[in-house]
Amino acid sequence: MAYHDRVIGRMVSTLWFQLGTNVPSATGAGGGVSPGTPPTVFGVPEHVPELTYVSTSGAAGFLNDALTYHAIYGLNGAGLTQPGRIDSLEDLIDKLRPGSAHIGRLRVVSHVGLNTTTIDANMNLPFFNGGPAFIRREMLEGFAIDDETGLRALIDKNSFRNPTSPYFNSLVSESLNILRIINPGVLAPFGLNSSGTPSGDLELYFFICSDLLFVALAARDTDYCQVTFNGTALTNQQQSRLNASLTLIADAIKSRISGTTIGTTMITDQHLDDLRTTIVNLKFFLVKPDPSFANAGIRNLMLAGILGYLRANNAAVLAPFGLNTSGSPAAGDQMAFFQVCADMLYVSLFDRDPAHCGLQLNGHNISPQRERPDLDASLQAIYTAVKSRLSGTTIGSTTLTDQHLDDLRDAILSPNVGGSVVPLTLADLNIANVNFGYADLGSRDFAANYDMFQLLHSANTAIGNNFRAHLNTVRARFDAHSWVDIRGCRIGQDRDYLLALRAFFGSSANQPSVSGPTWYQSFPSAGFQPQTTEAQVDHLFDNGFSSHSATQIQDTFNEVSRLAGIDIHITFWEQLTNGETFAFVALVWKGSLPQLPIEANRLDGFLALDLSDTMTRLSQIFDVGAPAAASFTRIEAKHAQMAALQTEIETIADLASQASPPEADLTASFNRLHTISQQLSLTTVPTTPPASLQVSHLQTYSQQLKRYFEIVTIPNGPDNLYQAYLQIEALAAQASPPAADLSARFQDLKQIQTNIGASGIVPATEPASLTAAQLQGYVVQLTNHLNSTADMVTFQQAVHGKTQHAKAAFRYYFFIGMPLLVDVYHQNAFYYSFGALSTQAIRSFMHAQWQEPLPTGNHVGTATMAQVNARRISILSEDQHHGPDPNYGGTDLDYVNPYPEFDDHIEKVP
Amino acid sequence: MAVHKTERRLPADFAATDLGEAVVSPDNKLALVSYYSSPSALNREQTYVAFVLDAALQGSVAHYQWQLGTLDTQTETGVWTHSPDDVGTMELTLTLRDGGGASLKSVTLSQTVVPPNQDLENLIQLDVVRPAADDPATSREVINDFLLYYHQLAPLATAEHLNRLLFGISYVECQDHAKSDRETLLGNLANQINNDNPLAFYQQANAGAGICSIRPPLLAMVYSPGGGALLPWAELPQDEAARNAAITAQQTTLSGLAEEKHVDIFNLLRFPKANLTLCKQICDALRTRYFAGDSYSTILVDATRAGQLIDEFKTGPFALGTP
Repeated sequence: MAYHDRVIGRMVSTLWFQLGTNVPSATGAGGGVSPGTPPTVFGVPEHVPELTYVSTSGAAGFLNDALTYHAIYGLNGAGLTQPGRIDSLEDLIDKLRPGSAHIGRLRVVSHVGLNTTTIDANMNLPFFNGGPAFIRREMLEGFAIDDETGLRALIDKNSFRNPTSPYFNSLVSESLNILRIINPGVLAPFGLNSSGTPSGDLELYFFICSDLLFVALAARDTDYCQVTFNGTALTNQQQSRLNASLTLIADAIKSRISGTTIGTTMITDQHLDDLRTTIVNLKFFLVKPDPSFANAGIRNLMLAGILGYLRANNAAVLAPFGLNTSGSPAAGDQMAFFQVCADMLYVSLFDRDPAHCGLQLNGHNISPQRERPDLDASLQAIYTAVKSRLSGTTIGSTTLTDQHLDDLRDAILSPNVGGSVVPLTLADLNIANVNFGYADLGSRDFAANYDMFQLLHSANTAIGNNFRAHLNTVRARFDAHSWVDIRGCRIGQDRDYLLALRAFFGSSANQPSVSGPTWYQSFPSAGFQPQTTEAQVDHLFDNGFSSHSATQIQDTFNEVSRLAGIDIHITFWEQLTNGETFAFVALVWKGSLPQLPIEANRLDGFLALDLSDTMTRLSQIFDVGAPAAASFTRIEAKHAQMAALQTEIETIADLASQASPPEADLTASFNRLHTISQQLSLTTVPTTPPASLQVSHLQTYSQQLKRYFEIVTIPNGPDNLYQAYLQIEALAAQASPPAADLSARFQDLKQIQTNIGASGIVPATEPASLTAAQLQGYVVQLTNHLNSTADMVTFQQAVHGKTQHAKAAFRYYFFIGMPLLVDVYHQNAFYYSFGALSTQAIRSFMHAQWQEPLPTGNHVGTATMAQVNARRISILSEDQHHGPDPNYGGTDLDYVNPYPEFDDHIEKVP
Repeated sequence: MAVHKTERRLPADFAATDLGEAVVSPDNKLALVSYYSSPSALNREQTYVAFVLDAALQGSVAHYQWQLGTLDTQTETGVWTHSPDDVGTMELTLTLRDGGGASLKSVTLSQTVVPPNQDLENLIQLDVVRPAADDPATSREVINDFLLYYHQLAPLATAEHLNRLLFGISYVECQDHAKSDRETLLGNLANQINNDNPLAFYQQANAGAGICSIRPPLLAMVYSPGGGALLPWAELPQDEAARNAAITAQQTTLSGLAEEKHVDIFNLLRFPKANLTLCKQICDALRTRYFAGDSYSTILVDATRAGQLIDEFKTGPFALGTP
């Protein structure tokens, strides 16, 4: 591929669109006095969800707390102005279904249970409307695949993905065996009418048919088999709900098989329905072989007795079968015919002589009312089927007729002796006694601590109401960039559960990420305690408050201070106020003040403040008196020139670092200095630059201009001192300055000393051999004298002194309007703030809890510290005991959003 | 060991912050620059370069001390690499020390470390959408290390197409030249300058250096400290032999420049932010010369013209229409 094609490919790549367009937060390290860069984000706040829902299931306390916590931030459900409430997962799907816009982040708050032995989580929320509040992982995994798998997961969590057997004891082979005898036609489309076993989906279909039969038999007679729930036989309603679920599964399998071809037969719905109906209607005594079929000893005994009796008393009836003198029935239908006749006789013998011909089911005699009709109908069904196949067949030269067959049956069951029917006895058969007992088909108990059948019913109903289509509609709103944040206790410990949620809400490549806490989640409201003076702030630091010790206060502050970058600010102020007053007052440093990652009221709009407002703000922040208004008025009149000069000084420093600074740049700088000089009505900078303009010239001019501010503007000094300064500088530049000029300047300075009330700087008598350097020294001292009482200078020094204080950072934190949330244990969380800024402090911390802008409906802008819900916080706790932090002698750790440790306990998948 | 030539000056017309994230001592004698700007990503290697800008100080420096938390490292040259292993704020203090161990000057650079871009990691982990993540190593570098610079140089609101162009060129070049290879080349180039072999510097950098693989002659035609380019604009011939001869002549011309120019060119190539800046300036120049100054939003939506502009950057300049 051509180079340019590769580049263009990246220009229009998914990577650029998805990630390249996300502008990272720039922190912009400063040069010069800037000591570094603060954090860009205060801790690791939670992400703002686009949609928020709170469950209605379970204890209301936690859920109501969650509701009010999210409501104040304007987090809302679809179409609402507050968090939505959901009664079930299906309800959530229904509420998300109307929209089609992409969902970037969905938040669901719910109670969550956790099996701490197996680390299996379960949301305490109904899966479907009306169901029990219990969502197992497997349920999510199953319905993530399809309704059939979902239903299977509701019935049995262990084999729902790839079932290898029916849920109940399998009746598949028994069903095949009996159908091949009584109704092979129903198996014929599947090629199973004479042999073979089903495979694939057809096998699954047989499994479900077997289960449906098992449930039907259990419902008919618990002696046949048993289906129980927590040890109790199913109610009719439970049976019905289970049947409905199994039928839905069968229908799902049917839809996959129907239309496929087996051999040369295209399978139809009718084929499958007929098969299912036939199997489900099988009697217990058909799938459970009867005595003659089941017991070879009984079969041989009965056959021998019957044949012996007939040969002796009614050999003619055996003649068509070629058995009138000897022989045994041929295998197959002929033998089956004799067997079913023998069974019918056995039942007759049991009726007449149960003492010697026993017939039991589960240890008791077959009940005439409940089981006997099934038994008779079963034998009749077999007789009818076998007879129909034998009739018309040929044995030897005899073609069997219905009459031959009915005659033989009658000769066995109701022999005519002398014109009367005299039923055979055991003695006629030469049998002393015989006994046969049926075992049942087994049992299956469903054990669950929730109403499984209510769950099945809710699922059946939901599926009938197009749950699948609804889920798919909602899934289309999620993609791989979406997030589903579950906020419920400890759900994050079960990563598989989070992955199951991911699969449930997503599809193939478009699965959202899912997060959940590994600890207990709660949304309590913290207390608050305002501090109204610097002394109170110090007292809090030194002594703590109430149950919060000084150590706990300080430890919390150290952590929060680190997150907020407070130390960086203190270092900044410390360096700034330790520098030249000119630079301090020029305010050019403002652009280098690192931005804090959390709102601080007194720094809001700080960059735009003018001189007086800036200094007033600093006086508030550092709790020192502000300079006099007159000072502001005086300096502000020339502040534009001060700022321009400070900027120019930095430009000149840059030029000085260049080996060959461009002449044009030098000239431009000179012109700017000249303009400043003109605006100050000074002639310090000449109209035209020197012949060979150098950086050193610029440095001299700029320094001389700066001295004007230092001598005159800032301390309110006399203009003539500045004029004297300039003249003395000029003299100092001369190799041999005239003595008269030096002397004249000495006199000037002496007079100025008097005028400004100074003494001891300029001596009363001119020194011998007066030098320009001595005069320069006087000027410096006189200037220092002026500045020693200049309120702007003393203000700067006072601020610097505050930055040096041991509690400087702690005070600063409070005085810029930040809240200190101390949460050493859960039920005793407290906000501390500077009283006058409490409202701003709580709003700051509220904003800090979220990474992105909050929805327009949020109430942060009107929140106050006094509001319980404004003080509500999101906490993760190690356990529920809510005891003290282990660092302070307890055992329970708590972490509050947005501290990083909170996020550390949010598990995220994938 | 004396301060290397490559760390004695900042490129003319460039401040330390034009090279990367930086802090400069108040007297402008020491600048500390990192390749990548905060927030930097966890476990991604960061390179720090100390510029000793004062002649007197340059002669006194014997060691560089780098202190970061409990880490305390000393080097003989002004280059140090470190991969942060914890998120949060980290403060790196650089102290220059003389032969006796005395502290000469110190600056502290505070940076924020954040986890690597999770969205990218998600893309990489999703096999089915792997194509979206492209080459994982390159994507990690581009997204975690350079992303801020693209947006600083070409904000989406006003220069989306240029943003894409810088992204595309640097991506392909970083994919073709792994970071370790690029750093090895830059190390060799620095050696040539520090050992007074400028011709070898230009010969070894012939194929380009830095994250956009910028060729020094092309850079020198655009970089104009004080208003004049270091090398006059000259289109390369179509004929290969003539082209090679022209390139050789360019190398010879460049090697004859003052030593400070070599150092400046090297540092513009070395630092990712400066490299991207020069890439932008070169594209600007190409756009002006060969596309009548049309906007990027006009040129780059036309595949033919976009291809021409990109090829000019990669192999030009040449008269449009020739290879």
